[in-house]
Amino acid sequence: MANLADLAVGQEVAVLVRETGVANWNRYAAVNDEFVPIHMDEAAGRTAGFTGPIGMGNLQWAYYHNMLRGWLNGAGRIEQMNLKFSNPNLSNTVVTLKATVSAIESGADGQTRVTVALTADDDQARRLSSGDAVVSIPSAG
Amino acid sequence: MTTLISEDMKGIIGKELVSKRSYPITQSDIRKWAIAVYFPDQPPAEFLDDPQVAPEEFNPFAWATPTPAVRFSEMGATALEDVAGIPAPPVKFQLNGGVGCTYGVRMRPGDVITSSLSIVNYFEKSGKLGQMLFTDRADVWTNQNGEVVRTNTSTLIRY
Repeated sequence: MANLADLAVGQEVAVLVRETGVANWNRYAAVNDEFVPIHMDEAAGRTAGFTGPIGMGNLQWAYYHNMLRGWLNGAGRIEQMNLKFSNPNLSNTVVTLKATVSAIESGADGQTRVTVALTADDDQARRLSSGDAVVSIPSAG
Repeated sequence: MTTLISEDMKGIIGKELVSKRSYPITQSDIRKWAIAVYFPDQPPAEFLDDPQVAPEEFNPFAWATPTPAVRFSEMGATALEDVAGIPAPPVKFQLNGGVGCTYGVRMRPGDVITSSLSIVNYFEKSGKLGQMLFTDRADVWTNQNGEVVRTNTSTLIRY
């Protein structure tokens, strides 16, 4: 993670890129017990109005956590996260998640709280989800 | 416009629909979760070698619970109303419209987690796929010491 003193509003602090499809989704289904036809089956996806199966919002949620944990690298913790899903994660697309600092606030508890804006876009320029997260990082000194 | 929200549905807002308890979290649970969510990357060592905490988003209720759990994923788009024992709205499909979470103490191996799920609100919108029913839910998780692990909020979109 970059030095806390070097963080600035507007700074992009983390990126995570994933090729998404049933290879990811089936693994997630196996640990989350989420064997829902719309996430696994071509016909079920088409019946629901899509081009095929779509990815789990819960897995995209996990990807955001992976990205922030990677950025924090043990130097802070995730306190809050909020996401809105605006488009489905279609199969065989590349999804890029980003975190950009939107606020920095020093707390009386010795923690600095950094709010990051979150976005996930696919390689067809579709916004899949957006939101924000608050992470706490021990203040310097 | 005909509403999808019945008086019966309004009547269950704010009431606990489901409570469930997990088996004790194991290190193996944490490893498998991390391997899946980090795929195709290798998970961080903290979730592999001798994990002492679970990833924040870890689900301790997957697959099995000591008492029969309501398996929403297998119940279709009207699971919430079916569980509540009220007539279901005329919807066939469901999507995850948004999620939020505030984290408390971390989940650790050996922890037993209890969840309490309720409906916070129903509302409707017209979308590309027709009339859409939005359902806001809240799910509070606590550990065996009564400490809040996380408070989840989510919006289910049904049509």
